[in-house]
Amino acid sequence: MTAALLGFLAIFVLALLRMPLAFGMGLVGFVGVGLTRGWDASLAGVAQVVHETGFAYTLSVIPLFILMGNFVARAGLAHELFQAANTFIGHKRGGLAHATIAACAGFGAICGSSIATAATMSKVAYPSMKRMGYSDAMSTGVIAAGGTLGIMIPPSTIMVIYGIITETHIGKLFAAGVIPGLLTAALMMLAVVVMTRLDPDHAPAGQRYSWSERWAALRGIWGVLLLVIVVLGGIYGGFFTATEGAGVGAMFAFFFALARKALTPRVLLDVLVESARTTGMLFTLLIAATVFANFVNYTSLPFELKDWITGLGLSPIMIVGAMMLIYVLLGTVMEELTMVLLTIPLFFPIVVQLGFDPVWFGVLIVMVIQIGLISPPVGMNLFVINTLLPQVGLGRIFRGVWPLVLVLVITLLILLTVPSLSLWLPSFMD
Amino acid sequence: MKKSLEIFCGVLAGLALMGIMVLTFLDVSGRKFLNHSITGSLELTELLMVVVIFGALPLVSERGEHVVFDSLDPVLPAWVRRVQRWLVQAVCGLAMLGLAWLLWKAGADFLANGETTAQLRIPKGFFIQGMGVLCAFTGLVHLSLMVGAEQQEQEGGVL
Repeated sequence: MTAALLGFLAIFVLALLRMPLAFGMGLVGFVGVGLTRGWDASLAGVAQVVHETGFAYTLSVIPLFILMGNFVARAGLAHELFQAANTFIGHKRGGLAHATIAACAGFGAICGSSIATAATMSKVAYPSMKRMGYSDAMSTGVIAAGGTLGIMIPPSTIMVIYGIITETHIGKLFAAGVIPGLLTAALMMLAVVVMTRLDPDHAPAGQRYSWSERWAALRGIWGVLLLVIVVLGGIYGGFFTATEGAGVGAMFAFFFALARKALTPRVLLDVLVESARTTGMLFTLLIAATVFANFVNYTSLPFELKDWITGLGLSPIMIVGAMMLIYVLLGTVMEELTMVLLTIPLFFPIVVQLGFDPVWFGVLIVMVIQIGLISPPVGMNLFVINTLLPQVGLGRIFRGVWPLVLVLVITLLILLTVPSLSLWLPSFMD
Repeated sequence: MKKSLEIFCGVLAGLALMGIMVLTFLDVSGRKFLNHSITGSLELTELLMVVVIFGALPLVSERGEHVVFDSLDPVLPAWVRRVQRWLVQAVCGLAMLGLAWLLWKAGADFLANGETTAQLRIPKGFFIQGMGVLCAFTGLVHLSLMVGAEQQEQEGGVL
């Protein structure tokens, strides 16, 4: 057990020294196995993990969903989504903020990334809100929080990663995210109602649109609906596997971008290379995390931790609740993907032993990542918005996002106490 | 040099990814609508995945897109950060070169045993050695970043 704890400590020290986390995890795992099992075993183990991860067919689902998201972002579908939402709710007080959240939810149904959703919405929704006199804090806060819907509403890159490392059915995870995603969007809108009531000057009502204009705007989002029906409908209905759905989705998104003249050969290459780079970065982390997990699993830590926790006499739900608290706290300062990759080998066996559904735990994991992505001081969505809208400043973004961090924490508590919200839809897939 | 690496790796990884997309699409539509799948599409996807991941790796390192904990940067004096960069890039570079050697050897073993993919009988060893070569490129990229102008880091975006 001491060996594994030293391993975790070494990773944190290396991270503080600014070693990329993937290299830190990989090196510590390699040295750990080398010291405990011998260097030949460790070298052979690393080589095997590297080429087996490279040659895994099922993992091709990851780059395909990333690619689909990047094509969708280039195709400009977000604009139509925002416009359509705006024609329906823009005339209410804080209408553009509501429209942003609705558009984020819609965009989340065709894009599996929180950061891409937030980045796209910064370009689409922020200028309109600025023009209408919304405060910068309010508009960037809403965009940052709305962006996180990208990973709860399927498809979702993080659900795919969780599904792969825990061997949980990806299609069921996707189905499980639908209701929690919509619930989160609804609660965020409720928060906007409260926020705009407190500060009505910074969120004025917009123009009212006629029903014919609304129908026209709705017709503009047929592309999004088609993608959702084909990809998610296909996976949920059992017509495709997740990998096949991702391939078809990427191809459809490619055609959309092509038809909208958003793809020159140069842009196409950019999208492909950008997606490949993201894939390369992610797989480095995945490989390193596997090397490290192999080391941890050689030690007695997972068993001793399991015995210790189950021996505390806490109720199972309290144990999961404590894990969530740890995640929320860690998420304020840590990069969320690494946090999950490091802790899953320890937490997941406990959760399964306690008799909980891995699909439900997957939804909770996505929720804590959502929280981590927007909780200061280290929140990736906040940084991305700060890069795209440097004139706003991190201080204002932090101020605007706090109420919505609170909303996500409340949603987490709801999902924790009412598992059927996550498990009802996947229950039809057996 | 930097430019040609970017073009070579970018085109390699990008086209492989495009290949996976088209292959998956054709395979699925062929199977669902024409009752005819593409022979060996599964293993072709596997081989292309290797090209995507390892072809992109030198670019990820060159652009500093690996996840790092950089919150201490603003409080560290410039000379500490220089030493830090020198050390980190040296360790990463050597680690990648070590991995390259390991994969080259593993690939040679595969070739010696005559291991091929199941359907199309493509020797896997060449691809494993290819991973090794691209890891070596990545290692050299890290070593080249030890000195010189500070790298412009980007936020990687998986989540």
